[in-house]
Amino acid sequence: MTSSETTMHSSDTGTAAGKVLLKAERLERKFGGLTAVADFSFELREGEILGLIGPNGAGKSTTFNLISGFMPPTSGQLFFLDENITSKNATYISRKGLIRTFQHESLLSEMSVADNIIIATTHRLKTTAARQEKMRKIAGLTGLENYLDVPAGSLPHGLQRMLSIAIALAAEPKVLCLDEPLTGLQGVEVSAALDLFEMIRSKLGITILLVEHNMRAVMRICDRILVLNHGRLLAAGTPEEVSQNELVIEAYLGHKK
Amino acid sequence: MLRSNPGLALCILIALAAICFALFSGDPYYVQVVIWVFANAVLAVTLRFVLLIGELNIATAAFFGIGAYATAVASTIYDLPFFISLLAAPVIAGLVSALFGWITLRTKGPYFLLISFAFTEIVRLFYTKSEFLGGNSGMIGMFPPMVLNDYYPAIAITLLAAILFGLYLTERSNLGRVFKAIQNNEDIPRSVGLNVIGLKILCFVIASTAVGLAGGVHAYTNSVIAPADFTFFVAVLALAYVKIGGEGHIIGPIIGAATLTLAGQFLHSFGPYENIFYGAIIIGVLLLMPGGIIGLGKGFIGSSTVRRDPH
Amino acid sequence: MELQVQLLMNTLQIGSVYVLFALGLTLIFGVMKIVNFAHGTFFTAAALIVSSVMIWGVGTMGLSIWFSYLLAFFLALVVVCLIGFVVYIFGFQYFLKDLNGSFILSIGLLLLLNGTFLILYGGVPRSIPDVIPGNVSFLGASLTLQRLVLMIVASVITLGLYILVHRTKLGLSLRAVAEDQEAAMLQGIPFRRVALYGFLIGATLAACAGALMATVTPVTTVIGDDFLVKAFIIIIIGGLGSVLGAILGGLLIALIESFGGYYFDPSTATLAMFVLVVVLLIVRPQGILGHAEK
Repeated sequence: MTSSETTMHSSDTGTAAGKVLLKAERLERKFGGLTAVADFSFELREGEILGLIGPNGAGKSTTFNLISGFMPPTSGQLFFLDENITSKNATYISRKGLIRTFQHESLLSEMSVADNIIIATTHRLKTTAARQEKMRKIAGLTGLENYLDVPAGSLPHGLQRMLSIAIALAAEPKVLCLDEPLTGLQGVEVSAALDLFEMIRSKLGITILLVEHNMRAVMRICDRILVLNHGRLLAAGTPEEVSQNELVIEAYLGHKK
Repeated sequence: MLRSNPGLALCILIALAAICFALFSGDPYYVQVVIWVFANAVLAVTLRFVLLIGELNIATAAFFGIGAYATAVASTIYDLPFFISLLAAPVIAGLVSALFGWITLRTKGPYFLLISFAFTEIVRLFYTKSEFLGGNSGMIGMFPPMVLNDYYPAIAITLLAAILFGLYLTERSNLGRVFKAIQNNEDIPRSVGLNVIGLKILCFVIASTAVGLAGGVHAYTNSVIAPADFTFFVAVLALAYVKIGGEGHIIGPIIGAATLTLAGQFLHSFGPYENIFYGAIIIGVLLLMPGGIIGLGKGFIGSSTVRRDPH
Repeated sequence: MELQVQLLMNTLQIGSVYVLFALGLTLIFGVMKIVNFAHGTFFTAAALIVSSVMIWGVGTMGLSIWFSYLLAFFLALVVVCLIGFVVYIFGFQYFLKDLNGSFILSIGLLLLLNGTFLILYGGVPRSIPDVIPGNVSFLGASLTLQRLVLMIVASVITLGLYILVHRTKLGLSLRAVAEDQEAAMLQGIPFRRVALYGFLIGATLAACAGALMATVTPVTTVIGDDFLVKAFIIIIIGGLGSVLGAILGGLLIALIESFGGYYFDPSTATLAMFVLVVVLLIVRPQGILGHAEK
C-alpha cells in the first residue's frame, strides 16, 4: 500500500534530470518460498545519481542481479534505453551499456591490474593498441597507474575498490551500477571516491545507480534515493525527504519507541 | 619475439632438431618414440588448455580418438587422399566438440568433469559396438602414400609441433587472457559484455580440434587403432604429464610428456607395476612438488612469478 | 507379465547395489566437494577380501559358509575403513573443496590400488559358494534367495543411511556442511572431523556394496571400475550431493539397464543412459533433484 503512494510521490520530486534510461515495473523475485524483491518499480533518469538503500537483506543485491541480467525476475518488466530487457542475459545487457560492479569478489584477483582493465575493454575495442591506451586512461582516472603489474588480489583494499570501478568504466557504460563501492574505505578514501563518482557523472556523462550503506555519503552525493525494506519500496525522494520520512527512520532504527 | 624469449627459441630449436632426427635417423623405433613424445605433449597441452577456463576435460581422450577414427574412416573406407583424410580429423573432432560443448558447458566443475568422463567411455563403447568402425579390433591400414613414406615422421612431428606452437600463441593472445579471466571469476567478464558460455565453448573447440588433429596423426603413425587406445586413461596420463611438468606454463606439460613417455618405454615390461609407478608418481608429485618440474626450476632461480596453486 | 516381473526384480536387485555405491560417492561429494574416482577401489577391496576370506574360511579352516561370510563381511568393512582413513589422513584432507587436486589424487590412488590388487590377487576371477542356497518365486518370476536377501540387506543399509542423514546429530552436521561449509563452521560444527566421517561412511557404503556383490558375481580386481561410470551417471542425474537423488537415479539406471539390456543389448542400454543425461542437461543442468548452484 505504501509503495504505490511513494512511487507516485517520487515522480513529483523529479529533479531536472533527462529522459528515462532504465525503468523497472513491478519487479519481483522469489527464491523458493522466500520473496527477496516484490512489486518494485522505479525509473533511472539520464545524468542522475540514484541511491538505493535499505537494511541488510532488504533486496538491494537481488535488485542488482535482476537489472543486470545475472538473475531472471520471477515477474515484472525491465526496460533499458526503450528496449524490453526482461528476458535478456547479462552479456546482452552489459553490451547495451548497463555495467554493474560486485560487492564481493569484484575483480580478477589472480591477474594483474592492467589485465583486469584490459579484459573489460575486450568487447568494445579490437586492437591491442586501443585496449592499452584505454587501459592507461582508465587507470589514470582511478589512481591505479602505478600498480599496473601488481596482481589485483594483493592490492590494498581501497585500491581494489577503485579497480572494480575501473573495470566497469573500461566497458564504457551508459549506466553504471555500483554495489557498495565504499565498503571498508577510510575517511579520505571515501571523499576521493565520491569525487570520482561526481566526475564520472559530470565529465564522462555516465548515469549512476548506487547501492551503499554509508548513509552520510549517500545523502551527500545522490540526487534521489530509493529505500527498500523487506524487498519492497518503502520510500523514495530527495535525500532530505527520505531522511525525514518516518517509515524510513523506523525501518533503520528498528522498533525502538 | 625470439630474441626477447630465449625459452621459445630453444623450443623451436628442439622441434627442428626432432624433425631433422626423423628425416635422417635410420632407426624407426626411436623416430616412433619421438612422435609419441610430441603426440603426448599435444594431449597434455590441450588438457591444460581447457584448464585455462578452469574445467578438467577428460574428453580430451575422446576427441583424440574421434580424430583418429575420422582419419581412419576417411582413409581406409572412403579412400580419400592423405591430406584430406588427415584434415577430416580436426574437422570432425571440432564439429562434435562444438555440439558437446554447447550442451555441456552450461555446467561446470564436477558436473562437467563427470560428463566428459562418461562421454569418453560411451564413445569408446560405441566404437566396440560399431561394425562399420571395426568393433573391438578397431581399424587397420592407414598408410601415408608411398611418395611421402620417408617423410611421414617429419611431417607428423612438424604438424604436432605446429599445434603446440599455435596453442602457445593463442594462450598469449588476448583470447588466452580472457580464458584465464573466466577461470579466475567468470562474473567479471560476463559483467563487461563478454559471452562467457560462447568463449568457453570456443576454448573447448580449439583444444578438441587440436587434439583431433593429433589423433589423425596418431592413426597414420600407428597404422592400427582400436577402441582400447582411447579410454579415459589417456586423459589420466595427460593429466599426469601436466602435473609432473607443472601447469603454470605451457612448457610444463611438454616437459612432463617427454619425461614420462621416455620413462614409460622402460616400464612397459613391468605389467601391473606400471600402474603402480604412475599412481605413485602422480600422488608423490601432487603432495611433494605441487608446481611440478617447472615449479622446481623456478624455485631454484628464486623467481617471484611462480603462481601458487590455491591449495 | 512374468517377464516384466522378472526384469523388475533384476532392476531392484542391481539397483539396490547401485544405490549403495552412488550414495557413498554423493555423500563424499556433498561434504567434501570432491569427486572420488578411487571410490571403485573401496568396492573392489571389499569384494576381494570377501572372496579370499571365504576361500580361506570354508576351504582351509572348515568353517561354516554362513559364519565365514559374516566374518568376511565384517573384515571387509574394517579393512576398507582403514584404507579410507589412511588415504584421508595422508591425502584427501589436503584437498577438501579442491575439485581438480582431489581428482588427480584419486586417480593416483586408483592406479596405485588397482596395480596392488592385481599383484596380490592376479587376474583370475573367483566365485564364492552360495551363502544362502535356494530359489523363491514371486508372481511367476523366480529369484535366488541369495539375491533376495542381498536386496533386502542393501535396502536396510540405504534406509539406515537415510535415517542417519536426516534424523541424527551427525546427519545434521553432514547436511549443514554440505549446504554451506562456512556457515556450518560458524555454528561450531568441526568441518574437518565431519568431512572425515562423511568420507568414511562413503567408503563403508562402497565396501557394503562390494561385499554384497561378491556373493552373486565373480570377483575380479577391476570389478569396482565397471560400477564407476554408471555411478557417475546416477549422481549426475540425481544431482551431486543429493541422497534421494542417488536413490532414485540408481533405480532409474538399473531399470534402463535391465529392460534395455533385455529388449536391446547392454551397450544400447548404456548409450541410452548417456542420451538421458544429455537430454536432462539441456532441460535441467542441476540434475533431477539437485538445486541450482547459484
